[in-house]
Amino acid sequence: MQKLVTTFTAAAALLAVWLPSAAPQGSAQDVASVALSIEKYVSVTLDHHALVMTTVDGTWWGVTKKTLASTLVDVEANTDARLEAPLTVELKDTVAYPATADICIIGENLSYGQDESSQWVDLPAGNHPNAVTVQVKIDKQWGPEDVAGTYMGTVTLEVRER
Amino acid sequence: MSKVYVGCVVVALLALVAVPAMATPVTEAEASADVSLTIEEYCEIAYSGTTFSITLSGGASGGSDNHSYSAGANFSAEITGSFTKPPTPSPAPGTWDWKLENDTKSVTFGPGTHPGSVTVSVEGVELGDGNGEWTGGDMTITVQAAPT
Repeated sequence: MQKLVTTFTAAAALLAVWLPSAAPQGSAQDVASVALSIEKYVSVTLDHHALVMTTVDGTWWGVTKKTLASTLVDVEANTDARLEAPLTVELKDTVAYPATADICIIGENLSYGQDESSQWVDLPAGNHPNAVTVQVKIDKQWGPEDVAGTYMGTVTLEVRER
Repeated sequence: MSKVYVGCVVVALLALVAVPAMATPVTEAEASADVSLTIEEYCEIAYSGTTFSITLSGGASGGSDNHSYSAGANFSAEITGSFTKPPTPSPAPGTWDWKLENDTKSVTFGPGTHPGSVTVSVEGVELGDGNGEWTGGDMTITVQAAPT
């Protein structure tokens, strides 16, 4: 009896090892679908986080001159996108600066169809490093109303699906 | 067996939590930069004329001359002056003085422009001082930051 049990146990063990590799009796299949969903994504990054403008000397008084600062902009989007900037930025010290700074977006690549200053630029889906330049500009006749000091403001660029 | 079951449940729960978060489309984004404008201090001042000329006639013991000036500054400024009486050919006789439009030797203004005037005067000239012409004096006006 003991021998029979031992033999049966050994046979069961062998069967357990053999079964997974045993040839199927016929065949069977099951299919699961595979899907990939890429959601829309847009991103904008400014190369410089500070745009600094400085008047230089007294020759500015009574003279119309520009003072400006600019930064390159990187745009990433997997959909057609539009980059927009506000028209102006207000500057303030202890009091508001009497003039606003104009903002314009300048396309660096004519293939974007944008070769002039604008408040927006359309970009096709893709990675666009240094695609455009954002320029902050004050163009005025300088005088005593331009009180000495440092005036601060913020320019915010938006990119959105087009 | 129970470990496998628990593992499967954990993976399933993570998937339920993570999938909705990753599925959110990003169709808008923004980036900002600080903008600063620094305007340096600037001032200017100039006489409308170039020469103070005082002529004493008829035995007069004193006289004065006046010139206007224009100043401007983009900060709070003070106008002061310094005077040197005519030294040539010898120190000019009499007692000399000068003053600004407010009868003092300093004026504050600004930021902005400021029109004013400077008066140079001499008195106490005596007949014994003789006659002649003395030159080479100067009247300098200065604009600078007002003392705080």
